[in-house]
Amino acid sequence: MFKYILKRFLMVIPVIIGVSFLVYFIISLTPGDPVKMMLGEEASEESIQEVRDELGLDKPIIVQYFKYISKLVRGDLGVSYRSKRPVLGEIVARFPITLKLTFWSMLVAIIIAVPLGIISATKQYTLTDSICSVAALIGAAVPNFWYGLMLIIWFSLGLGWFPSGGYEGIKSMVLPSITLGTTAAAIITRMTRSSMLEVVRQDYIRTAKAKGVNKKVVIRKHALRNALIPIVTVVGLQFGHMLGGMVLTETVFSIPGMGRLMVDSIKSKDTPMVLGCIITLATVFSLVNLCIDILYAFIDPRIKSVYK
Amino acid sequence: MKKLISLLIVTMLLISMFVTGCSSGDTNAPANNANESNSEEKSDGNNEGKPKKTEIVFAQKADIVSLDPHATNDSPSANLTRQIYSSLVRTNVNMEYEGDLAESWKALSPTEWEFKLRQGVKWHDGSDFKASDVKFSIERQKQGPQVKHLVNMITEVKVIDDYTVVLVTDEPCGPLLANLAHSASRIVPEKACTEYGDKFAEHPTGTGPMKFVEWIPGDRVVLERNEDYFEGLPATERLVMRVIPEGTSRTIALETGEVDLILDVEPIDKVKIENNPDLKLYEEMSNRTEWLSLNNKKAPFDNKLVRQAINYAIDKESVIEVATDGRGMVANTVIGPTVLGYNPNVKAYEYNPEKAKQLLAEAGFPDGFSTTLWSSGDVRNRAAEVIQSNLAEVGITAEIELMEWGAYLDKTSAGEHDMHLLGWSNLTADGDGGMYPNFHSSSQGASGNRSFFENAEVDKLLEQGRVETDFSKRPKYYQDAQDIIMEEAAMVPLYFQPTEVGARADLQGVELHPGSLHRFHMLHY
Repeated sequence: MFKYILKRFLMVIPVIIGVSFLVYFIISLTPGDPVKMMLGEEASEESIQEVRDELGLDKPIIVQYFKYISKLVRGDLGVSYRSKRPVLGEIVARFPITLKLTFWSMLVAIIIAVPLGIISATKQYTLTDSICSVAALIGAAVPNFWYGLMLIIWFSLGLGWFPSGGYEGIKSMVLPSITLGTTAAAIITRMTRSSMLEVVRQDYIRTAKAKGVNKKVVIRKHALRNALIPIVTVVGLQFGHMLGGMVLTETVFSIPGMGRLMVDSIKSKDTPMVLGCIITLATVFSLVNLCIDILYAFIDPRIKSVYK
Repeated sequence: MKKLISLLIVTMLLISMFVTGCSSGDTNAPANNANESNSEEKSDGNNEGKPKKTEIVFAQKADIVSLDPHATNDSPSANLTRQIYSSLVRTNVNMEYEGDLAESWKALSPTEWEFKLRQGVKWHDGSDFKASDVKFSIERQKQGPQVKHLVNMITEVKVIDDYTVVLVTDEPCGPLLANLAHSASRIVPEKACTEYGDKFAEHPTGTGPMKFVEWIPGDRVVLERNEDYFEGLPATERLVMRVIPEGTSRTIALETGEVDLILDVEPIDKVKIENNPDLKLYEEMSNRTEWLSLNNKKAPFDNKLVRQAINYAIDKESVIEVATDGRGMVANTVIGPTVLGYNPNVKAYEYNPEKAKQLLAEAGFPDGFSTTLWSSGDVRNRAAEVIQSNLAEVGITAEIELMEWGAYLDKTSAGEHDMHLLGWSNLTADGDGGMYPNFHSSSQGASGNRSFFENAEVDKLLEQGRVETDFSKRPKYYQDAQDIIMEEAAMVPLYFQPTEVGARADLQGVELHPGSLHRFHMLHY
């Protein structure tokens, strides 16, 4: 097991190299000159050239990339083109906010989705099931951006319960977490339902029922545990999806998280900052996947024997 | 199963500890403090008879880049540095020059300017402001690629005594005062700058009305009043800038009272603010002109008749109506009425599609032609649609291409476009700042002249204007240049854009600056 985890940890390295390589080249291919955007409309051609020299942007892309990677292995993420501040410091300041929001949103999602999915599955083709399914469908279809604004209008402007935005303690996390959480909940509900439906049709469930085991116990102990693997997988994927897709929610709720930092950096072609953000995301995403894989072993002991 | 549940709970707890652990550092603590003081004061502000709200919060759409005025030239940063630092001179809300750190100034010769400085001014760290700081600042500014163009013509700064400096320019410089009043031409302390070196931006020290307290990137900048401000005690005790990128969210924050004033008001939100009795929309003509740029180097726009035809073909009223919800003034020329050198009598092109068709026929395009129209940004994109249909009426088929901002600047400065929409905010409010970059042949490309307009007479007038230091004579050069530019139809000026600020109706001390150089230290309830 330990060997397996170590192996997976080491696999993060090629992922980072691959991702950074791709991103570096894609950014260099997009039109727009970072220096022109940095210096503004009024700057002279001479100043532009000067800064380009200073940042080493005149060298071939491949040379620039190797320079970047050689710094990266020493733990140096470089300095932002735009603000001249160290990339690492900026990410350390802003990533925890995104992570925190993702965490709360996931919690909201799980609390809503798993019970709803179970109810849907156990009461298949009843009115309750239809209501749950339609709700899940709406949840998945509604764009975050609009939904977030509606929540702000109802709960901040109308009722005044929560701040309309900003990052000031737990109260400001409520609306964004609900916004993100319900979208993810929709998908997790669907997954829970279908996974549960598959399990409740198995012979061992019939056996348990025939033995006269309490229906609730059957669902909880016999069915849910066996249905958990796909649910946990989709939760893991949603977690990564949330981290990467946080930017709209962060924009609507003015949360100073990493999603916004990344998009602002992409807009100003601040390559070191974009790479810093994407490497952080790729690493965390890989680690979350690893955690999910490890969790499998605990959920289903049969899987443990496969991890060598 | 129980094992599983307990495992899940432990994992969740560990993650939550990690998450809170990460953010309970310096990022979070001040935010919470700010929250406490803010909410306390908010409840105070809402209740009659209770102490007044002393913390004024304003919101803008983007975060600052740096608090070092010489390190950046973006307007979100300038909105903050303007409150922290002073300049030698500044323009007031009537666009007249007044002394900031300079008490008076006079020209000793066409290339030598003497500035008498205020005495007894203290830096925020308590040390004295002296002439040596001015010399240091201008020399420092000349090292900053973003801001050096403003002071490049100053070849020497002579310190006569502690409170007198003489600026020597390489040739007579008409827009000297305008450049010194620019947001980026701030005076910084020699001592603190040398001490902190590259880290000066983290310890911004000025002589302005507000002192720096903290910056939480992406979220807020907090300032407090400078009790020793040389123009008297600022009315604002604490000034907070919050970053609210989404336009609707900004307006909602104003409606709920979370913020007291917002910049960058979205066109659709203006009516909402005007109709709300708790809020007030301040609107003032600004120094910004929006225009349709025609690539004078490319056929068929190298033909003056075609350019004139397009000028006649466009219904500017409709453009204003659609793009800005009717907020704007039809532009008769390329610089606005708040800018020195504005020409009210220039021959403007009225909306006349018949005349346009006639000119096109004369130019050899009786059936029009096909071309492209580039745009970037919501407001401009809406304008593009109106222009497209206007052009269609006279037989010109313009295909709209929307572009990402970076690519847009890049490609238009390279001259790859046929027509594109852009504008110019004239921060110095001097004809030179608006016209030299956009119409002088040496400024073609990235420096501003994206119409690739070239006219020897205009070049000469703009050069003469630049070296003319007599303010009574300067406007003439720019007015004459506008006559030629409009006759040549170098571009299509569309509208002069107002600057707007939304505020709580009971907020006092709101004064709009036409160059959007608003000062916020007098805001109070």
